[in-house]
Amino acid sequence: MNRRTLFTGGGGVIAGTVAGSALPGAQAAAGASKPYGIPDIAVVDQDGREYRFYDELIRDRVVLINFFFQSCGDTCPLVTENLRVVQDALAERMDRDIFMYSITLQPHFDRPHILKDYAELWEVKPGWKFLTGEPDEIERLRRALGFASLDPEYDLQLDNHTGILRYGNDRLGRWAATASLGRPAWIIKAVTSIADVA
Amino acid sequence: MLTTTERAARRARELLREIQAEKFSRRDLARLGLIAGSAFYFRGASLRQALAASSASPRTTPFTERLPIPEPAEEDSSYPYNEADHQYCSSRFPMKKMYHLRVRERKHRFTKDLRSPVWSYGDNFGGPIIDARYGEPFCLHIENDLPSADKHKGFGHPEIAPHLHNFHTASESDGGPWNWIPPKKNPSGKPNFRNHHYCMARAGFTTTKGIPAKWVDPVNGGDLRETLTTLFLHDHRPEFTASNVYKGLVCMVRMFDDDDTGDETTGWQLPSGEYDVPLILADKKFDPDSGELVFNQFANDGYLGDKLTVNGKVQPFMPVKRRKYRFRILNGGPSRFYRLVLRKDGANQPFHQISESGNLLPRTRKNITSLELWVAERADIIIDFKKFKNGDRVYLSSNLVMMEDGRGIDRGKSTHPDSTSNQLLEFRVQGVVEDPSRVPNAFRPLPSVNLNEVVKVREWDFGRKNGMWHINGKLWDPDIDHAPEFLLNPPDKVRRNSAEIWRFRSTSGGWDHPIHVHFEEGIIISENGRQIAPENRYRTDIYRMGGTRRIDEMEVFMRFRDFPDPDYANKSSDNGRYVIHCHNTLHEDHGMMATWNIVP
Ligand SMILES: [Cu+2]
Repeated sequence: MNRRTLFTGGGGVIAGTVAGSALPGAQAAAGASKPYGIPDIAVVDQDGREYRFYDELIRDRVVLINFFFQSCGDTCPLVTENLRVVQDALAERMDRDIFMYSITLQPHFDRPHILKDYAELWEVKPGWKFLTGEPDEIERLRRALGFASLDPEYDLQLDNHTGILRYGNDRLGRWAATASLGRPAWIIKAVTSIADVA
Repeated sequence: MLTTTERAARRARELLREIQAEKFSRRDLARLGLIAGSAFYFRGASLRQALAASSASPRTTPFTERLPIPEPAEEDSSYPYNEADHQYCSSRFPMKKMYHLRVRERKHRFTKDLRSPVWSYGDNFGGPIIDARYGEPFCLHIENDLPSADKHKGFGHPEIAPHLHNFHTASESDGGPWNWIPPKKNPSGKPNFRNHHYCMARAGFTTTKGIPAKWVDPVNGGDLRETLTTLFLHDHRPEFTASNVYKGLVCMVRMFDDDDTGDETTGWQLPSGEYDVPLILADKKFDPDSGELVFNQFANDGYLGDKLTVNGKVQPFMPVKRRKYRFRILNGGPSRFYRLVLRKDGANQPFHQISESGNLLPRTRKNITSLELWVAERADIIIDFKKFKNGDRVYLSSNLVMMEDGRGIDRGKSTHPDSTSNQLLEFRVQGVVEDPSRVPNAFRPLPSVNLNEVVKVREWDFGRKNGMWHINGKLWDPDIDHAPEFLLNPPDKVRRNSAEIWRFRSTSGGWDHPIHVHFEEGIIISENGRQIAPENRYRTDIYRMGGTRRIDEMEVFMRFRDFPDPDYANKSSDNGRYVIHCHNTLHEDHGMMATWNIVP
């Protein structure tokens, strides 16, 4: 029922299997941090397209960011469903001036083809990307964006990072957070309050 | 049987122990299938840095800036004002004076080379000081002249919700986390100002039940024992409270009456005038290159600065005369707690505490040597500098260590109060002046705790949920309780003119929460199941969950009187709405707030 997943993964999966996997630009990924310490790492979306996280996905944009994992049985599906309502309500602004990024907490497992199935299942439209990457790099991103806890025991449980929905406007350098399971009406009001006038 | 959560936690603990004991090499870990999460245990320091955000502030030289004393607020009653907008205003407590607060952005010098844009109530960082007097109802006209939301860059959101913490205020004037005031240029063309009305009458002004005749205010009604003394105004914009207050939206408020007169030759003769000094403590961090204020907008658990400021100056000095002073100390947050000590030549110096959480104590705590102050708490202390010599240097310091992410006290750690980084303020003793002031042994007794008045025991649970912070399992939604269906049937209804026991439980395992309840002062009657003896009780608006004494459960006696105004109820169904929230403003901004309503 209330199954908690740790960073230990599904058990018995050998981490080495993803070493040297399909991430061509990964070696060069440890670039300089961008404003507010957001690392400009290489990430891959559900269509296998590679991006620089800061330069290509954050810069000058209004964004909503959450962390999730595909095998998550408790919170994530509810969050994804909630964000789908947000996506539909923001329809004409999505992919134009508002973008959503759901980043995996299990980059080893959640490879692009898995994210692709997930995105299709939830009828994701343009402007909403599901992102994975090199585990070390995604880990850096997770910490830099504040989806982490200094309490080591708390931090190890993946589900302890799924309740936060960060929203920000990079052009204005302004960031905040709200509940990823919050009412879509409030999420929309919150994010548009820091967005430029539509 | 272990629950799955307990099993997961146990597995996590085992894993940690193994990793910490370095039983496994990195390669072993990889073979065991440990993934991402394990990596940072080898780089613990970098994780701490990442979470503590960015690099250290530039070096500063302490005690080079003189402590600024806030100026009185500007009185100006020329602004539009409608008595009908406010509960009990035309009927009982018509406004006698109006203060004007213009909220604006300006440059402020924290110390040499550290200049930063800040926001302030009025012209100075840390605001003016607002003086009020019981029996003199007043109004605040608050005007938002901040840059527009799409022009302002960086942390802080220029939509403001000023809240007078913790006055007995009608909900429409409480400045709770709703209906924030936009800046002048806003897309919906809303007004950029608002009036708040304060009755300046003590709780209980509509009922004499439970108030001995001797303690009824003969002029306005109300229980004299409910007098409030040292308060402050701060911003309450949901999800941006931490950054807006950090950017400067805070100011002190003093309330006087016929005993605490503001004149040291009358009433209780407490030190007054230039010897009654507000001290706003706030820790800040500055950009190493620009010298401007920085804030970590990605922090959920807490935020600590590495520079201690008092009244907006980094470690200032204050020349004092050899006489008594009253200091009204406020912990302005966002997350740091203090354990204040007065130090000279490596030794603690005694002082007197006359108020806790802004309320005068039944009896003065004489000759104490340390004082814990959690976020948003106020304490009035009296220091007599007469015992020191001309030329002496005396320091107000803190010896409390916070956990690195600011989520609470690092209980196992201590720090030396005389290390420069722990010193807040340097007193420079010079000169003698007349001192007619006194330190009374006692003030007014506490309002009686009468359990026969209690109509309900209300439970409030505080904890973590998926990385956010919850109350009773719910995360704050500033909008949901505007809905008519909510107002018709709010989940937490408190009967007007009744008393309740509020039972607080912290289920978040070691995190500290300074819980704050709007509107009403409470009296803690038990902690962790142990009764508090009557002589150790006090009135407070901050309830310390956690802390060095690990308080996980607390029972508080509360009365909810006077509001909403029955005459006002016909005008608006939204007239008794208040909040309870954590005052670690990072927790507050990440869900830890809930609405409750007083109903007729
Ligand atoms: Cu808290």
